[in-house]
Amino acid sequence: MKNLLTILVTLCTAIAGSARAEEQRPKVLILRVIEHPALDSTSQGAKDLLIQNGIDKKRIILQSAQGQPTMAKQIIMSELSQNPRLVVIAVGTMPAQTCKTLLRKYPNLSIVYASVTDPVSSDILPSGSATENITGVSNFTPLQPQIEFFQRIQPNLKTLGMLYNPGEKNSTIMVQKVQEACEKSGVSLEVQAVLSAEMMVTGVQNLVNKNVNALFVSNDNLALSLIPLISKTARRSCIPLYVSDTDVVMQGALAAFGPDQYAIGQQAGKMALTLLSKGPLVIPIEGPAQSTPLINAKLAKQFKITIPASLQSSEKS
Amino acid sequence: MTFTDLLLSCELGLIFGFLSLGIYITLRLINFTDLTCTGSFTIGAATAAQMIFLGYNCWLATLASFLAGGAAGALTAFLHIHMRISDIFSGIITAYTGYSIGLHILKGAPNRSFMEVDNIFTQQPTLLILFLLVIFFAIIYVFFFSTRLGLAMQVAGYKPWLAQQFHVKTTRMITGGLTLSNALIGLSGGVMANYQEFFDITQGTGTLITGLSIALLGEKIFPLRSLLASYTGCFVGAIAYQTLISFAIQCTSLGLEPYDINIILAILMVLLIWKRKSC
Repeated sequence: MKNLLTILVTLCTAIAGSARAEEQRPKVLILRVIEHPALDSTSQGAKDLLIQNGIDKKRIILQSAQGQPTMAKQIIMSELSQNPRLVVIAVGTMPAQTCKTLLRKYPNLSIVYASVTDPVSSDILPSGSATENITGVSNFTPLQPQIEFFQRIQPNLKTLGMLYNPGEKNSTIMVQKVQEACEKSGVSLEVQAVLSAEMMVTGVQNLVNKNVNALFVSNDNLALSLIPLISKTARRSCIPLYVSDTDVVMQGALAAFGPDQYAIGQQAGKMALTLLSKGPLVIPIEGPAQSTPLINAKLAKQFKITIPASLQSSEKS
Repeated sequence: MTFTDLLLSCELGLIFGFLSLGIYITLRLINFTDLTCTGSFTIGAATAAQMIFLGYNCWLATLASFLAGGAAGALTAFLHIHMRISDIFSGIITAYTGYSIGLHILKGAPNRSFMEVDNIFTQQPTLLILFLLVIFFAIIYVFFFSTRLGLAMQVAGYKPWLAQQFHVKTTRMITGGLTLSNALIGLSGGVMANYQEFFDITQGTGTLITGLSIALLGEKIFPLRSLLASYTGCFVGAIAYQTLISFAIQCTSLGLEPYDINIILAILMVLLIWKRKSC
């Protein structure tokens, strides 16, 4: 017990000392819901933009909530207790919700959300427009163009199989929207719910058995973190996989027509920068600035798919 | 560490205290390896979240989370006693089912938020409400486990043959113990949902480890084995555990990587519970 006390006291002093040494200027906390390639590149985009614009590295804190709201709350509070003027870039729905509940007690908190699919129904922005404390970049991209893009690569695309985790809010919203988009493009949709990583292979195989022409993963954190596995399982039956994020294409997907997660991070970073330099003000919410097509050339060759000439510029091997 | 950090750790600790108390009851009092926790936490929190969202009274919703958690415990007991499935497996089955049931309760919405509606913490200070809850359950806990029924329950878990000599129906006692323990875990989930004003279905994952480590930490801090000491131990352990997490988070500001949090937490736990070799 005595040893522990000594260590605790020493560490406390060290932390307190390091906190005092820094200037009391507003800090930026980049809080990810969990570690995962797409979210990591969003955070990286925000961080890089802030550093490029002359924000001191020490003023940027990068943390992960490990999927736990209690952890998210503790991280935000530990920063708030040192410095009440804080700009939080909340990457993912859950950290943004946690920030929102803290607003009542800490009106000086500024929230910039990124990678949130639907800020309205998750109560982050119930009114649908930015306030002085909350603004951000959603990652929702229109689905119709994505489906049409897939049809250009695979003209015989009749049935699309979609993998999603019913335990994620963004995915459940996405399923309805994909359904609508597919109906408009004349593609039928087979949906497969996957509750955990262990079920993924079985889920993919189940879709393959339903004779889908291609698989689609859109904004689902569970599926996005298992792209190599999904791709490998589907490739055995010669079925290509499409994704919503261009960042994960090279992990084994055939193509994507979506926002660049890094660019979304930069957009959020820009908002945070404005808040840092000008203090609290209303910044209108944004969506992803642009969608870019990306095709995995190596896989296209493997599937013996000839890419239309108009799309060849977006190939990457 | 600042005062706000400690305050937050206290709040979270008092909520997780109920979780670890539930685990403590099955682990130590009725000697049953119960893994239902993940399921009962999810079901309890989902029930509370959905009821508050639909406009029911928040206290009613919290009571419902207690009952829903209890139902999950009763299911485990049913599987164990009537279907003759081993204790570990019946707990796992309920925990698995809990995820789907939780999603059903939430009408398929994996993340339910109710920030615009009143919850149990809206009117009064958070700590006051939590203290009242803790004291209320302390009285029930100490009183109940001192009655003949409560003692019979403990005997049934530890010395089934002795219990049978005294005509104690061990199966009923195990059912009762599991129901009570999981009701407390469900309550912890319900209070947590109230506290954070939203509930995410993935939140139940990991509660088993948290609850177990809190229960064991509490035992180390309060080694006495009286009822009140064990009860206090759970809550003090939970506060200590949350303080350690909060501390570990701040350590990362010393230049450690964000993903080092768990290592720091592990080191701090080892420092807290290690023992010197007795000569």
